[in-house]
Amino acid sequence: MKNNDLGPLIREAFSAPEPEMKQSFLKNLKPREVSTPEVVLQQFAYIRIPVWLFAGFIMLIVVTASLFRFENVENFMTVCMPFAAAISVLETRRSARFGMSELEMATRFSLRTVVLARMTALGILAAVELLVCAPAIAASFGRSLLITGSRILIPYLLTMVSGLAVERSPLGRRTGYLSLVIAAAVSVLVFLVDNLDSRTLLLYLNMLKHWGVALVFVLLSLTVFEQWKTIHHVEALA
Amino acid sequence: MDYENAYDKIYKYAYFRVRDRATAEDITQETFLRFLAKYGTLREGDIRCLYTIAGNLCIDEYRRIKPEPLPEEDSGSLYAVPDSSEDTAIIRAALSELSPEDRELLLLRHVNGEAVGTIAKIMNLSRFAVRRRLQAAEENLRKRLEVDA
Repeated sequence: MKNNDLGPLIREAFSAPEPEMKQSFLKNLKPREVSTPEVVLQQFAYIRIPVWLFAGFIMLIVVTASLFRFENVENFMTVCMPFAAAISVLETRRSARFGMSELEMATRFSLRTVVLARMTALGILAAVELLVCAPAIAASFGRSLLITGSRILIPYLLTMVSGLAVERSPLGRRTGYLSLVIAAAVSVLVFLVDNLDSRTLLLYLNMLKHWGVALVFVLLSLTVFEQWKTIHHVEALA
Repeated sequence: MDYENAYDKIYKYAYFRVRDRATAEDITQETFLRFLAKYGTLREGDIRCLYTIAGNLCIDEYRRIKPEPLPEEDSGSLYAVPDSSEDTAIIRAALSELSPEDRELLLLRHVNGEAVGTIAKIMNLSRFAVRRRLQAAEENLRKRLEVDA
């Protein structure tokens, strides 16, 4: 007798009497109300391990390099941030595109709520990265926290805005990884500004000194607007 | 995750441990209520947690009714469903000779269709150990069936 033959026999042998109260119990079963912060916290569990590893890798490198005063740490951080943004965009799109198991929650919450919670969780992760790295760099090299923060945030937000917009486009929907291309382009741009010649870098830093915070606010507003548009069209994108 | 499917699995799991329909249903419902009170909603992969809660409730039930041994003729009542065919009766008799752990393995794998990884987590074993024990249990059952035949 083969294993294949055993299966049906075992299933037959384990036949149990039908439960009598199943339907009435399930009908009256009311899952506990889940608060908004709980939904966001649950979304942390669905963020993929590579995303955590990338965030952890950046923070570890930046904090360690800041402690040992490696001059290029700020450049490294600004070059990496577009990829962190692209990963966030892709992670959001993963939910909308594939209807993964976590979207079973959509039976209780709307798909928009789930995607919004996912975006919030990813936003919190990025904020933690910024809150750990920017003060570490600013303190180690005696730089202005506002300029350092702006320098880190601008490439991140630029990639987020472009990535979210592009991923909604027909081409973005077909390819699915266009935000990584954008991240690479922003990264190269930032690298060129940092390394092409000292005059360009000085001009950029001078601009950040006067307009950095305003630019961050503009990009932040655009990011929120793009996220709102993504959430608004999420059913069409899924 | 489908609540009805999960209900059926937990009910069968409890039934073949406590051998009483009403008690098994009570345990199943208590399992769901406890789980939902703690986690709010049922998702993919939560079945393992449901099995753990149900298993603990079955142990509580054993402790509660411990002093009363089953009568001799009822010892196989787990498998003694009246309208069973001769083949089914033979396999039930063979199953009753296996250890409770082996029966649980066969139930989880063949009846409830759980993956080896899930069974490993439920029974606190390695995946390798589950495969090995499952193979041994099937082999054991096959031998007993051949002897009976």
